[in-house]
Amino acid sequence: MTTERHRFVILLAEDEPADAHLVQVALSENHILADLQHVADGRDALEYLRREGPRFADAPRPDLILLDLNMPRMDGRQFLAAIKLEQNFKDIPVVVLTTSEVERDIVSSYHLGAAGYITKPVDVVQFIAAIRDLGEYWFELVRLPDNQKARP
Amino acid sequence: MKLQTRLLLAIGVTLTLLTTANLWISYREFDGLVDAEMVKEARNIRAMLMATRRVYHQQFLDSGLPVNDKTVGFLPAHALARISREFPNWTISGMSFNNVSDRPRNPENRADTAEMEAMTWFRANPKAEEHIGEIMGADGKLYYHYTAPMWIEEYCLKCHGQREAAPASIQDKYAESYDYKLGDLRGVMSIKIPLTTMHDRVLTIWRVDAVTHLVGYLLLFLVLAGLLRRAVTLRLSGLETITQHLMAGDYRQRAEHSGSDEIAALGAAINQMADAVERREADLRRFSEIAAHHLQEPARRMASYAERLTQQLAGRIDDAEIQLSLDFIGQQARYQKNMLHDIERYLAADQPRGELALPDARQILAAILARAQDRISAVGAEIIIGELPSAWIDAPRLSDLFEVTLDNALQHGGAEKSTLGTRREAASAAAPLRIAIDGEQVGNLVRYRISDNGPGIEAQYREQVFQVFERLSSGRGGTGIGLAIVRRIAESCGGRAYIETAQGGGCCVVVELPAREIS
Repeated sequence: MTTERHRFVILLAEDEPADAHLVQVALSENHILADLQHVADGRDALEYLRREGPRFADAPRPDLILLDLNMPRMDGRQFLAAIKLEQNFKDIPVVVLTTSEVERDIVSSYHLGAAGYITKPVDVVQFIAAIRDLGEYWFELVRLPDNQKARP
Repeated sequence: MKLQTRLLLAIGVTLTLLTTANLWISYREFDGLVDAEMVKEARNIRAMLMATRRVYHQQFLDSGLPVNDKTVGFLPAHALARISREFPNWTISGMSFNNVSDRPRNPENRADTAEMEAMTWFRANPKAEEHIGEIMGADGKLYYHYTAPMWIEEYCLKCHGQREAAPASIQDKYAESYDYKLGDLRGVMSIKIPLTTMHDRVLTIWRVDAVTHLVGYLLLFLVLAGLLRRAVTLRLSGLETITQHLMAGDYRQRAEHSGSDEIAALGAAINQMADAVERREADLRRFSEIAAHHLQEPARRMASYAERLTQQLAGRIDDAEIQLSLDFIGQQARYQKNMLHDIERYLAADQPRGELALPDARQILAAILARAQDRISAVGAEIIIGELPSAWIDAPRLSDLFEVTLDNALQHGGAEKSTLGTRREAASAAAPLRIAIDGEQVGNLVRYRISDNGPGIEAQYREQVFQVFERLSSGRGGTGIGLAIVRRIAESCGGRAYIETAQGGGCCVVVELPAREIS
């Protein structure tokens, strides 16, 4: 394990600005100093990872992907299926943001390999708490050492 | 009556009638044939005997042979009796014959009762050439009795006319049987053929015929029954099964309809109907699910931002009205979100949300209780967990079952929101809410019971509460879908859900699920 730290990068794929804003609020309320990168749908998220196009030429590799399910062009389920086929990205943990536990159960029944789920609560406080739990968990446990991250 | 039974009954009755008629006709035919055969045989014998008689009579008269003890045996009247006695040595037919008379010179040739009757009959029917009847023999057996009349002819009178005119030897030997008149009936040729032998022969032939017919018709019946079963009954019951599956909501079922007959056409029509129903059902289902799901999102965001606004304006609002409005916006958005969420759960309740198995009910309930801990404490409820056997269901839906029923008990059995006049307060404010959750396996099903010690639900409302949006009280934050979700889950698993009175009078929601996979 390396002791070298770098800024934690979260890629948020979310088409709804109001929800993206809530994630931003939750991170800052929790004092999580993460670098939040925001894309609007699954296709942008894939292009981001592949660093396609001038927009994403210098995109930092995310340590965690927060994935909304219902998005135009390429939805969360299709995105999950797509990155599990890409050797370079299949190890990046993906936490799926769902609207309900029904949706969560249905998505998990596809066995697409999500690392976790957050059911978007009505309560902002609850949402902040959920993001905090997530942050604590992934900061301590899942953040990959540099040598592993460099693996092809 | 079933179609198969009806058709087979009709075919059976027709075939039985046909067989009966056939056998009756064939019996009559055989019987007639036998009669004809017997008549033919009797006639031939009679002809032979009469010819013999005639020849011997003539020979006697022409030869001038005296009638004495040595020659009397040549007289046909004597010879025939002896030939008749000799006859059985040459045949086993049992047939006998003789020329008999009411006034015989040879006592052996005296007519018996039947023959006398025949003679009486011939006198009454002088033109008749033969008479046929059935008689009982001395041996107790039935005989076919053929008689032909022997009318007195010119040449008869040579020996049977006036005694003085008869040959001397006749006059010497016989004192009786003179003075016959021309055209008198003095005797009959009597031929007796045993009926039993003939009948036995007929019966044997008829029986073979009958058995052949019966076997034939039976085979025909079986073939028809088999054909009916294969070509109609089985296929119809197959179609019935398919429609029952469709009715039960299994829209993937399709009928097999090979062939080009009417039933195949019906099968194809049912399949087309199923296609249409399945498509429409899927469209409707998808639309409902998407609507319920997507409408939750803006409701949730509204609630979230109303709350955020409240936080942001904390300390800056001095007008209580503004705060109240803000609260209402948040409250209504939450309610809308909750309702849509429950609708989504209701719509999804009839489909498994994971693998069907035997999930650990205890573990699932423990997770729910952990999540509901705050509410349980707020109500001050005591939760008693009993035996919880596993049922055949997916874990997420079992979790929903427990969650909804627990929620129901907490909401309606207890005094969670004291401002809204609860049932519980009215019933017994003193006793703490006690919720018991247990289960038992009864045969092929597992019965879970979630009961409380609240005031219970009146019998007349026990079905109503399982309807969507049916609530027995306003307020309380319930959406009125919970128990409908429970019933939909239970029924889609092949079980059921109902309410009974808990021990002590509270409400007991009973959920029955299959204990193992239903084949």
